[in-house]
Amino acid sequence: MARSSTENMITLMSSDGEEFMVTEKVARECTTIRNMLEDDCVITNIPLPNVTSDILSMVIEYCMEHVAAAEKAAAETAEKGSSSAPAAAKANKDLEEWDKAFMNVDVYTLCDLILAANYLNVSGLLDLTIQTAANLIKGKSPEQIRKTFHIQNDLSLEEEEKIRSQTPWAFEKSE
Amino acid sequence: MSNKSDASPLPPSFGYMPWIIQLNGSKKLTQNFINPSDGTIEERSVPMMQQKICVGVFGEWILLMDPKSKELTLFSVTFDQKFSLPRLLEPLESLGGFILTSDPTSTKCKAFIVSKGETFILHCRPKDENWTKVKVKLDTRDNYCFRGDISICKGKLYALLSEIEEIEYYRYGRYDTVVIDVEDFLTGSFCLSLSEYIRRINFIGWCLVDQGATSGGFQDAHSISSNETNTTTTYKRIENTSDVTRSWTDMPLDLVNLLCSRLNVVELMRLSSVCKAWTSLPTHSMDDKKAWPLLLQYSKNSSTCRLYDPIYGYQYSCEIKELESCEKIWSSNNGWILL
Repeated sequence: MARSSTENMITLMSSDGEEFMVTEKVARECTTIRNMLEDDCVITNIPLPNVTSDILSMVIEYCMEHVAAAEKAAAETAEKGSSSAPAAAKANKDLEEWDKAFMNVDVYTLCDLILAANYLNVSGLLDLTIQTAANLIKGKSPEQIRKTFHIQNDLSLEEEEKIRSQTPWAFEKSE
Repeated sequence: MSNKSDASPLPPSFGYMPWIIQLNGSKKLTQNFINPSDGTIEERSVPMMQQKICVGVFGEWILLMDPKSKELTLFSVTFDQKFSLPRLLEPLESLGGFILTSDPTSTKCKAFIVSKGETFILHCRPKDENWTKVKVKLDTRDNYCFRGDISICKGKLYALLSEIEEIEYYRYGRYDTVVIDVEDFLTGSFCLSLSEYIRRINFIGWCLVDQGATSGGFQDAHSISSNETNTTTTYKRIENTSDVTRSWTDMPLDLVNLLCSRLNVVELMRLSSVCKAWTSLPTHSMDDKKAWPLLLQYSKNSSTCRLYDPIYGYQYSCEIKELESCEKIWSSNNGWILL
């Protein structure tokens, strides 16, 4: 399917002044931007003071991939009249694999992506990043969690002991 | 004497703390509301509960049966709402657990019942004419049956199975498709074997403590709650070498709470001792936490019990002194257990 050349392009500007040209369809993946476009349909330049260029480029990459996957699925459905279940399952699996590879980032980037997904209101990305963070916590001791997320222990020994003594069993090493 | 003040038919603190309601069947028209914190009994009259038998409790909802007509009603004392369920025609000798997939006001709500000693599950929607009976193929184990405990978590139903000496933790198909195809329902099954774990311990009883999608958590169950952690949240920024000031401890609380909703009770407790900013987490997020079931395994006359997380296979042992004099755990709901 030839992409219509008249498709609206939107310029997103990151906090450090870098400009990203995206199609309106991709920009609409961000609910925050979609709402802006619906309020004011002639807007073409959107400054995003809370998102740095490296993070914004990742968010755009995510949105583009998911828009492309949705377009592909829609095109297949239109061609065959109905979508075939195995093909749809494979496409879903491919997208999941892509998401998984996309989440291969350090914890600082992950943190920024969560904040950006929340600010731009990209529900799929927020879900993905939060789940990735939750998976990093699972099965870890407090010390291991601090190490993983580079968090400094600012609790005094007494405070820590107090928390632990309430439910000592939760801090045992699980078998 | 009975107190039948119509202005407030329920005890004033109803809805804020656990209550045990004793239905008196056909013997009496009133019900006893037992306050477990001080043992006082208040006699009240709730017309919906007169002459009824309690089949099960799930969250706010009590499943009541009229012993004569076999009519079933879902009733919430707190919201004073009711929904009719189809009559239970199946002669069920020993009704086991019942669960709802969501609030009965939702069109997606389904009710499931398992019975002790049987291998089928009954399910229906509140407006159905009849219960649908599904015989569950219990893998290759022909000699297994349901123990009567059932729980729900993240779209999966969990039920305890038992043989004479063994119990298996078992889960099967998803419920959350709008129309359940019985074949899908069954082929989605698989067993998570706990038998090896069971053989190593001298087991007396099990109960499911954390009921997945319901509110509360194990913390509340034995007043080991960390409620006294004060709610002032101080953010501490860690120094890191990168130029931007990004830190996990600076994450807004609503996002951290979102993260917490993906963790189980134990992980949440561990997370709360990571740093100052997170010490007040459990009290913030416990209410709408969607944890998964935890199995509580207890032994007669012992205060030590084990908690088992069947999904990740972790186990924890904990001391609950109340269990020492306990013969049997009668029921569990919302993280509370009735000894």
